[in-house]
Amino acid sequence: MTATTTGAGEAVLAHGVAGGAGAGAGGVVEATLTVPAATVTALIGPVGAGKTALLRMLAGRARAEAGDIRIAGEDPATDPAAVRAAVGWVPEQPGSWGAATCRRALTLTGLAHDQRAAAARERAAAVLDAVGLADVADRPARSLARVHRARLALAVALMGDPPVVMLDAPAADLDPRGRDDLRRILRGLAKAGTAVLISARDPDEVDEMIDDAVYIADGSTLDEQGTLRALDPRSRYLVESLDDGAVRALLDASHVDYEPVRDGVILRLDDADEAAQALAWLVRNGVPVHRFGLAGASGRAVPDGGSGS
Amino acid sequence: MTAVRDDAAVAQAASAPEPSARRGVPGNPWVPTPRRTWIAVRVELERRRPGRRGWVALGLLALALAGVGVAVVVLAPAGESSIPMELLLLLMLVVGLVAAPSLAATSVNRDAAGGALAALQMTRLTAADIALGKLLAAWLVGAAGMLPLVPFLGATWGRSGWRGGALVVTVAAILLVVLAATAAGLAWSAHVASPSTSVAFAHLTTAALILGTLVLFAVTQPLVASPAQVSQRFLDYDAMTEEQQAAVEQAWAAGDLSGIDVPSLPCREESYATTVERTERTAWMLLANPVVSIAETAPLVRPDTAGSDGAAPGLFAHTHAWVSAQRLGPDPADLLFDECTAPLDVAATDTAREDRAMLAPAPWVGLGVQAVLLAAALAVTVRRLRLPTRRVS
Repeated sequence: MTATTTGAGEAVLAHGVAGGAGAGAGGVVEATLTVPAATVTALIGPVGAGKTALLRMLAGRARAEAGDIRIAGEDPATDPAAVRAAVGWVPEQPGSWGAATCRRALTLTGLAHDQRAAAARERAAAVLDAVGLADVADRPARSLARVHRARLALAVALMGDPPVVMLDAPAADLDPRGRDDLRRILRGLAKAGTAVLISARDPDEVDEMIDDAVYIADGSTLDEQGTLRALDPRSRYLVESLDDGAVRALLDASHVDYEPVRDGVILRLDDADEAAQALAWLVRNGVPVHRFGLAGASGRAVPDGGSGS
Repeated sequence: MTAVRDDAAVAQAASAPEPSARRGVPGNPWVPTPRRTWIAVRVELERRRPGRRGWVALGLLALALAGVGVAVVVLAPAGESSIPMELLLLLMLVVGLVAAPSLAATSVNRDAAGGALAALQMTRLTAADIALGKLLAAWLVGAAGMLPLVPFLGATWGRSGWRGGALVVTVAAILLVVLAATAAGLAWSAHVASPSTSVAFAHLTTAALILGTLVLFAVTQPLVASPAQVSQRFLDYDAMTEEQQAAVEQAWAAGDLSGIDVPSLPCREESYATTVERTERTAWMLLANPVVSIAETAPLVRPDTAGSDGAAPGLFAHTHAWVSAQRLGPDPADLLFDECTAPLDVAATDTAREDRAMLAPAPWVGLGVQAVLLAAALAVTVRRLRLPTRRVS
C-alpha cells in the first residue's frame, strides 16, 4: 500500500516546482510546499499568482518543467496516471453531469475507479450523505442549485477514496453557511487521514477550516516567515505618508521594527489601542501620514523578495 | 438546502468501502479496455438522456421516419426491384450522418467547459477509454435513430433480389461510414472550443467527403483529357452501283444484312482528332466517396439476365456501372466505327455494358479511407485528451 504512508506522512511533497506562463501570468516559478496526511492546507495568493497552475501540476494534470513532486508516494513525472488516481480533484468550475442523477454520476465514477458495482453504489450512498446531497440524490444534476453542483463535484472527487484531495477555490462564492458546511466536510476528511489542499485568494475565505497555509505570489511560494507575515494581516498596519524617507528615518532613529513595502512601511501592532498610540506618535513627530490601516493580504502588501529562501 | 452531516459521518464515508489496490494503474493513455470504455459510454449516455419533452420529440421523429418507410413500401412498384430497399438504406445513412456526428461534435468541448471532462480524466479511465466511449455513445445513438426504418428494410428486402448476406454487408458499411464521420466530429470537438463551430466542421467534413470527391472528380476531368483519333469507315452509298444500293436499302429496311456481301461494297474512310477523358486515372476519387463505397458493397446485377432471373439493376448497381465506366476509362471501341466490316453490330455495345456492370466491385478503397479517417480522428482526440498536458494553465 503506497497511499498515505510516505515518510513522515506527507501526502503532498513539492520542491522547486516550475511550469507554465511565468510570473504574474498564472505560471509557477518556484513552488515548495508540504501537505501532511490528515491536515487541511490552504494555498493562498492573489489572482494570477499561479495557484491553479500549481494545483494542476500537483494533480498530474499538467507537466511540471522543473522540480520534484510526490503525491502519496507517486511521481507525476514518471507515473501521472497513478498520481491522478490518488488525487480527488475538484475543479473551480463544477462539472456538468447533465441528465444523470447525482447517484448515477457517483456510481459511474466509482465504476470508473475500478470499483465493483455493489461497492460503487454503497460508496455513492455514503458520499452523498457525507456531502449533504442525500435529499437530492435522485434528481438530475442539471436541475441542482449552484451550491449543490459544487458539492456534487466534491462528491465525485471523493468516489475514488483518494488519499489527497485538491480543491481549486472552493470557498470563493460561498456564503457563511456554505463555508461552514465546507469546513465540516474538509475537517471530516482530514480526520479520516486525507490530505486536503485548497486554494483561496483571501485567507479570510478559509481560515476556519485550515491547519496550515502556504502563500503564493507571482508564481513563487513564500517560506514560513513570509507566509506568516502574509497570513497575519490583523496585526500588520500599512502606513502611507507623503514622505516615506522621513517615516523610515524616524522609525530607524527610534529603533522601531518595520517592513518596507512598495506603498510605505508596515508596522506590526498588537491591537487597536497600540495602533491608535502609534498613529498619534507618528503625527506628533511630524510625519505627513495620509493613510493608516490594516494591510490585509492583498498583493501590494506582499513583502519584496519572492520566495525569500 | 441540505444540512451537512457531522464530522463522524464524513470520516466514515472517507474511509468507506474497499480502497481498491492503487498499484497497477495502467498509465498508457493510448490503451483502452472494453470494461472502462463501456463505463465511458454509460457516462455519456446518462448525461445526455433526454427529458420527457426530449422523448416526445424523438418519438415524433421516429414516427416521421416510419412514415417515410410506409410511403416507400406502399409506393414501390410491383415486381422485383431493389430500389425501395436502397432508398431506405440511403435514408438510414442520412439519419446516421446527421445524428451521430452532431452529438460527438459537442461531447468534448461542452464537457471541458463544464469541467466534467476533468472528473473523468481523474479516474482510472484512460484518454483512449474516454475518446472511444464518447465515440461509441454518439454512434449508438445514431444507430438507434435508424431503427424505425429497419422493419421497412425487411419488408422491401423480400423483393430486392438481394441475398440476406449482401444486405448485412451493406448495412455494416453504412455503420462504418457513420462511425468514421462520428469520429471526425469527436476530433473537431476536442480541438475547437465552441460547440456550434465544431458541429459545423463535423458536417463540413462529411460533406467534403461525399460532395467534395465528386466535385474534385469533375474539375480534374480536363487534366486527364488526352488527344485521340477517331477513325470511321462508312459504306459509300454514292459509289455503289444501283443494284448494290437497292440491296443495301432492302437489307437496312429489314434490319438484316446477312444476305449481302458487305466487304465487296465500296467503302469510305474518315478520321478526325478528338479528346477523351482518361478517367481511369481519377476514378479512385469516386471510389473514395463514402456513398460510392457503400454502393460498391451491393451485389452485381448481370444486365442481360436482369428481369428474367432476378431483379433489375437498382440504384447501387447503376452507380457501380457508372463508376466502373470511369474506372475502365475510354473504350477504344468508341473510337472506331466500322460499317464496312460489321454493320449493325450491337454485340460490341452489349459487351461494354456487361464489362461495366460486372467489373469487380472496389468498396475497399472508400472503406479504407473511412478506416483511416476513423483511426486518425481517434488518435488526435486521444492526443488532446491525455494528461498531463504540456500547457500548464
